[in-house]
Amino acid sequence: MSLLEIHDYRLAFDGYEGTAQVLNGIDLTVEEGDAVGIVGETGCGKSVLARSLLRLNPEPPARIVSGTIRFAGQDVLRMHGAALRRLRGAGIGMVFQDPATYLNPVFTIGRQMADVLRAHGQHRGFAERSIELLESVQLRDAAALLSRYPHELSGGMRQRVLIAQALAGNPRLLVADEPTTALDVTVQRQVLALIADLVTRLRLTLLLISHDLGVIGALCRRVVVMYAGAIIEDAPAADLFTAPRHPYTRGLLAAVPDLDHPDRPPRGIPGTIPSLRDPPPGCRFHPRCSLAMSACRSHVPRLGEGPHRVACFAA
Amino acid sequence: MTPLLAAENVTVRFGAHRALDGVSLALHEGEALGLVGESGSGKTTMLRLFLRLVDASEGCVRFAGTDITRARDAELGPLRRQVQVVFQNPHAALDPRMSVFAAVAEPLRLLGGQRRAVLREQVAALLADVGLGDEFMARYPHELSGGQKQRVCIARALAPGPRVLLLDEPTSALDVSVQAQIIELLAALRSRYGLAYLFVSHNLAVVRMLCERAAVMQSGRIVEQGAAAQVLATPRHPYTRALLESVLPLPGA
Repeated sequence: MSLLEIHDYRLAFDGYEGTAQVLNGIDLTVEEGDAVGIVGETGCGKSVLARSLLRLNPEPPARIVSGTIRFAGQDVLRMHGAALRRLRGAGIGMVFQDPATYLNPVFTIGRQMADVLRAHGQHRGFAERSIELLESVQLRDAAALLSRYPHELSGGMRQRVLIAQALAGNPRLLVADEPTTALDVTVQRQVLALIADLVTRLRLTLLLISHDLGVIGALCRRVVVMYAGAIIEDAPAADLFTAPRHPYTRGLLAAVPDLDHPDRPPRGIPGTIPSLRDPPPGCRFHPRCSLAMSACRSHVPRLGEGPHRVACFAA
Repeated sequence: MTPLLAAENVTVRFGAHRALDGVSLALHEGEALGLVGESGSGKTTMLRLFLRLVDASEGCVRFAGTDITRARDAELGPLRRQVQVVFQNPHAALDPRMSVFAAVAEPLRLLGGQRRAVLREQVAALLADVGLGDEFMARYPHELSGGQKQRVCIARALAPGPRVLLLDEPTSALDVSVQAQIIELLAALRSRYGLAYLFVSHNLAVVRMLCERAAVMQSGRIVEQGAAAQVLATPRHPYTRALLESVLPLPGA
């Protein structure tokens, strides 16, 4: 049994201007101990997918159209109440993009650590366990930190506190959604090293969401590429970066400016991402694709099976 | 040669904090100078100094040789026309109630009372310069993608016929495939109009691509400046080295 199994998962958002098909038939399996990256641009559905694992998309406006999400054999889409609370934090820990907005400015770090521990069923010894957790994310002077407020911490320190909170319930899967995007590059490097260390030390399974191929490449063994609500390519990291098969993946790689090759200017992908309320028929990438054939305009390519999956008729 | 914009030993204080600490920097006609550094290093304050949106506590700011450190608004006319700015977040830079036509026509109107037909032609030409067709004139910001909004902001900045564009992280809020389009556009506009760029960015690769000179800022000081190829390939200052080492390698490249 795989740790995470997502099958034909479809999610829609209902709004005044119509229904957006935000996730369109996601098939994804994550084995225990793997480190999987999900990469894609704004609006491709990568964050919505990550939040789906914890049922964090408010329903409504979100509406589950079809499919199953199984975590450790349990059907997440049928969970309620206590089971859902156990899943959140004790099964899957999650770290979000903007560390400033996920801490409450009016409470101390100690109080906010204790809140999380209490939610996981602990009744006393909050300070000891908090210090232990804060030390595990390499925060110095953890005891003194308990009486500090979020505004007294740097962005990198806040993100470490949030990682400590995500680990408080001893999760098996860590979902990190753009964990370093709001941080400076030198701090980003340190936080990525910390995540890599925690994954090894605590034998965590990692699902890392990022728009940054460099961040994904630094931590992940396997990479999933999303476009307009669907997975379009899924491959071992080494294959994806050296031999990408989907035209969108190739375009994405060619668009990244390379510091070591200023003579090779980045190339943009012409056009823009489609509206999810009125997506183009067939392959959703076909209006921007230089390889598009008539089949691409009428039929949705399937992702297929195997270690290197690609949803493209031309690949 | 007299630089177009120059800061000479400028210090900017916000209370006890020195946002700029004795900085000297010059931008010459037609050159592209990249300004890199992390949050809080003073990059944006530097740019606001040249726009006279913050005042120097000490030191001198010059535009085409003229001291503008204490110049009053009425004396800043040439600066306002010839130095234009493009901001980081195109979603916040456009008035949601103004059509693309109105947004691009506004600076032209302020410059002189053209007739509407002439104005329309000028707006169409500016939009064509940034790769947008006439059909965009009637659209409102919420109907545009991030990349299209940034193109409108660039068209608006080009409207007064500037000699300098101050670009404050113009691609940081955009997706990578769109970022590449905007980099191409900025490079093309610069060679077409002989513009000078002061390009503020934390993305070293983009600076290397677009600029011939680079300056590195840390804690309100410029710690290193020189040819972009030299500064970003064989840096001398330890902070520049640390910055470069933090850049994640492109996997597979």
